[in-house]
Amino acid sequence: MTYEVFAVLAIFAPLLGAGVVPLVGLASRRARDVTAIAFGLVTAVATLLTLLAVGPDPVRVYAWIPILGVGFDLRVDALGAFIAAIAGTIGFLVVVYSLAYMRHAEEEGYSLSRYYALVLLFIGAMIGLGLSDSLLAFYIFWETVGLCSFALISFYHRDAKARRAGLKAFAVTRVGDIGLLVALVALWSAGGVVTFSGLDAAGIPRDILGLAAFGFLLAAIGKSAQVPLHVWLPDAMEAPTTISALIHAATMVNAGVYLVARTFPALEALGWWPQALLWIGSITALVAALSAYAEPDLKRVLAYSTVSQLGYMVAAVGAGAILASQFHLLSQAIFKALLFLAAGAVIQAVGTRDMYGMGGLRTKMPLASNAFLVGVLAMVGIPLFNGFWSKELLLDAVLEHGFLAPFLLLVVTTFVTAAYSWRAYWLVFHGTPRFAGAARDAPRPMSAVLVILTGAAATSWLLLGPYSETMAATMPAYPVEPLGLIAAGVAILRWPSGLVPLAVAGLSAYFVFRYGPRFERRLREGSAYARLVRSGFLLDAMYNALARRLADSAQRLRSTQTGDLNINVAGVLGGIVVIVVVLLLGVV
Amino acid sequence: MAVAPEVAVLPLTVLLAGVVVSFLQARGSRGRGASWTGLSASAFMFLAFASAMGLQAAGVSGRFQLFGTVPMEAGGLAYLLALIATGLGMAVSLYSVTYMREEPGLERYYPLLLLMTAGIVGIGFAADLFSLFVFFELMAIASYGLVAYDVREWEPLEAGMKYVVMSGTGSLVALLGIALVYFFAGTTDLAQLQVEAVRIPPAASVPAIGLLVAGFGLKASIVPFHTWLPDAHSAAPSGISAMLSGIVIEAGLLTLVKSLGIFVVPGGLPEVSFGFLLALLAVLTMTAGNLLALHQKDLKRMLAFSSIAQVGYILLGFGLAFEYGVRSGVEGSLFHLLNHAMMKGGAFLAAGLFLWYAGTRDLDRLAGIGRVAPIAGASFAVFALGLAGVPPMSGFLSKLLIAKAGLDAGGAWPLFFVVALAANSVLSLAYYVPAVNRIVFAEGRHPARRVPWTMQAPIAALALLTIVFGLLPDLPLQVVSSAADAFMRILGGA
Amino acid sequence: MADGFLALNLGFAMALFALGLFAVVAKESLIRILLGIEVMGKGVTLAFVTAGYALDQLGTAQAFVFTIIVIEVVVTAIALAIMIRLQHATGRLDIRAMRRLAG
Repeated sequence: MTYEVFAVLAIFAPLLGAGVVPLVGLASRRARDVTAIAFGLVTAVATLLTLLAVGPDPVRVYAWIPILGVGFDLRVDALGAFIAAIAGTIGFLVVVYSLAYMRHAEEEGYSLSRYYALVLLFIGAMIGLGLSDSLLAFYIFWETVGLCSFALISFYHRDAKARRAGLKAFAVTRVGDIGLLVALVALWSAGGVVTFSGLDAAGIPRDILGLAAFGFLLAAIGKSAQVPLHVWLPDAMEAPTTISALIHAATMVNAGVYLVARTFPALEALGWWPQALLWIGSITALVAALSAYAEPDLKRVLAYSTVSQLGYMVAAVGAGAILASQFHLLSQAIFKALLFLAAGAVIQAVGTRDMYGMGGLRTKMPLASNAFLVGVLAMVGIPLFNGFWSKELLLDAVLEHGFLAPFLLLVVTTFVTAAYSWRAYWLVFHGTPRFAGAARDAPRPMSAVLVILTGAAATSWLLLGPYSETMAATMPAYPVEPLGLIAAGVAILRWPSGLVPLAVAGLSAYFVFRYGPRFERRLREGSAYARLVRSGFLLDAMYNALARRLADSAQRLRSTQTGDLNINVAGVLGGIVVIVVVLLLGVV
Repeated sequence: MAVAPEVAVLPLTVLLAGVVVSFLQARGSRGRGASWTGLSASAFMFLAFASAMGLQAAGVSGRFQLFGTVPMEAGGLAYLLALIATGLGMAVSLYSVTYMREEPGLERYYPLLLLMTAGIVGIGFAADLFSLFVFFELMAIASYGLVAYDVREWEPLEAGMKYVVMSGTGSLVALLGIALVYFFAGTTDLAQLQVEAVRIPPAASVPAIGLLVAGFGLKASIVPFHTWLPDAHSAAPSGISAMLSGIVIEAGLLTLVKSLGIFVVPGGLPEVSFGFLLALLAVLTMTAGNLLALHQKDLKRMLAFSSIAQVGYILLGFGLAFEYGVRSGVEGSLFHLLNHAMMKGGAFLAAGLFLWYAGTRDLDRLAGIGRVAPIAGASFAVFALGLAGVPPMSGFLSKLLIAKAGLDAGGAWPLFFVVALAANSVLSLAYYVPAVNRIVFAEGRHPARRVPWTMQAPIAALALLTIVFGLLPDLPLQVVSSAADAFMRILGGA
Repeated sequence: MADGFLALNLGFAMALFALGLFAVVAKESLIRILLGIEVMGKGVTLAFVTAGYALDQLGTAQAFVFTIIVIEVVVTAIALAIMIRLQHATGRLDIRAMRRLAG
């Protein structure tokens, strides 16, 4: 019995659920909720069982479009299977959390059938994205997650901000997807390559490979919100917080990192590729961290934080540290989801996302406070939590491979990361309580999920050994070695790569608690720094100006539609003349 | 088993019979009786569709003479066009059963609809340049009557008049080009012209090409010959708008492509680089179409401008094929032709349903109509996203194939064309998405009305087909591929 | 001499065509525009007849010309029908009265 059947089940069960849930929802809300949970659970189990099916070889599941030579192929190796498992399990946890969290939305007239259908569709597409070997299937899943992301960002469709944010996210990521499209057709056309496995095999002309690499890079930058296409992610926080946790922290945004990791063996031969990843990653990490510090909106802080952490991962791939980047992906998925869901509980209790309207909530919402604290400790990189291990491994790998400048950028980023994390924790849960009303900890389903994620953040690092072994066994083309915890610990505690970040974290805590309040005042008064951040380091401002220019020129073009018959026919005559002249000029 | 190609006259004959029958039927009736006319028109469309499908499956091919004199050729391209035209025609006829029930003058509507479809089928089968033109004119004339259908309103009159003048001018321009070809090459037979056209001196072939591009391109709404389209497609009854945008302008494009095919040296590429010119025109057309669609408040006008852009995509595939001999260009364009017919046709039918329901075409006033007409609303979302090239709708795959053609061609300019295609798809989101948001999600107050199933079923069927062809494209691609075969033989067997 | 004759005929055909096209581009009266289209048509039929003469295919050319004339008649009839309605609606046959649809 082959275990591949679990892989197929993992992809198609949630897709089926996306169709079934709205139908059930026509009959009964209760039944719909139960159905959603059921599909989520089946999917989660299927993705975990898929881990049993890992192997280095691709599998043809279905001869999909024989006339084009395109099949539906899966590749169940560690890289993809872990992405799938994350999507499945965290997806399930989010569905459980949504039962209580989204109840208010139903009362306000938003359709939860649509919500659960989109979430399940998303989960299925994300799993398909991770497990696909066929490039066309990968593209379709990639676009589908983008479509779901857009639809879920604008879920609160009565809010114009949400609609705009959804369209912006869709448009920006689709610009990146142009790159994926070009890469896809270039490889298909010039090399006859229609699968990732085919890409690994040698023999593609170098200029085509370069074009494809550029395309993949562009797509990854868009999807993983790297500079300069990062502008959509902070605005995407208009989505329900469950969606921010699932899509914009744990899964979809990791797709870009997954893509660059997946294509690494084939593209690393192009000298500029790893360099580009390193620099884009580390610069993004720093810029995003700096932006996070200036934000008053709790979710936007977390959004920028996600961008920054993704920068770490991209840089790690550039340094060839595939294991470190993927292990950090796992850690980040867990602790970022934890942070978002804890934030969600707080935001729902308090009614605002503005951190200046919170404060002192530690006493009123102890569970959320502790959960958030664990997330912060993991993100800052305190030993005993998963973030410590993965981040240290990552920094160590970057330095090991000899990339000093990016390493320094990442270390500075660690300082800022810790700073904004302490700041967020302090503003929300400590300090003077600015929120007057009553706030209680979240209902049982939500709190249960928080507890589970807290446990995961504290323990997922223990999986390093089996994780790295599975990777090494199923991904022969990639530079991964099995790494046990003892060996990892020894490597990390080596100076400077191991201890510098620890010291930096402590230093930043001091900075925040000592100078924080003064800095906050200046931020609130609108310092130059705050203004720079608000304009997205000028990029957002630039894009908005570009969009306005386009809209204006479109408006002016309307004057060509005069309504005057003479002018219309004159246009025809002019066209004939121009065409004949052009052809005559071109004729040899 | 060799079936005589004469059998291929069947779809055309069925449609012409339908013209006569529906005319006689509609003359005496109104209201209830009118529904029967619509149903019988749908039946004739269905028979034509079925016969075309049967012929396609049996692989009937070869030349034959219509009425003993008109040269015709049965083959993949003819069948593809016939299937699309009659298929969409079926949907539109069924839709019109209730949509047009209260309209006077149905003895014009159904016969002209069937006649227009017959013209399109004839364009596919024509093997001679002049008869190609005659069928083209048949289609055009029928469409004049259908655009200027509701003579009680102003809009169809103004739009119809401008359409007649411009289209008539375009036809004569093209005809002059045909005259030039005939003069210098001595024949109008398409197959013979392939061999003879080399005899035409460049001083004549270049103007001829220019005249053909302008004349037929006007009907295909290539920029800058497109200015008649937004008015005409908005003013026509919505079922006719679906046909016009869905297949008529595409038939115009195919007429252009068939006639330009004669300038290709057998076994090689054309001496005059008109393929490159077509690609440039394509980029101009798609960009102008998308930009002009951005600020439209009228749903049908927005869809009309988007049709101009979509023709640009189809033209790009053909341009690349003519210039670089890439088969994927032909396949992509023909597949997109099919997909666009389904998606744009469906979108116009949905728009017509909204118009019927709420009495307006204004997007602001149509807010939330998707809630009270959920099937039409959901289908509209499918069509809009498919037109923007979002998977898993089939529109994505056809654009992908056209993009592949650019890479197959190789070089800097084709790459530029591919990026232009992709960028235009992203740009089109800027009007499709807000339209879908407005229609499906916005809040609006609309009275409850029972929507007839004859209006909803065609829309839903087209939406379903769009998704099915997107996920399982093998079947439509087989049909497209056999049509591409015929075309590629012209281009030297690539 | 025969060549010159042909060239002259073709020249006339082009001139008629251009004249007709000019009318459609420049005239504001719908009647004049329609007549312009007619004149264009005449130019094209002259071109066909000339071609038939040059190729010694006068029979085929005649068939073409008859077909073209029939097509032209139908189009003119439709155009006139619309124009009558426009006359009813606006009281004149002027394209300046037909500029409501724009943008």
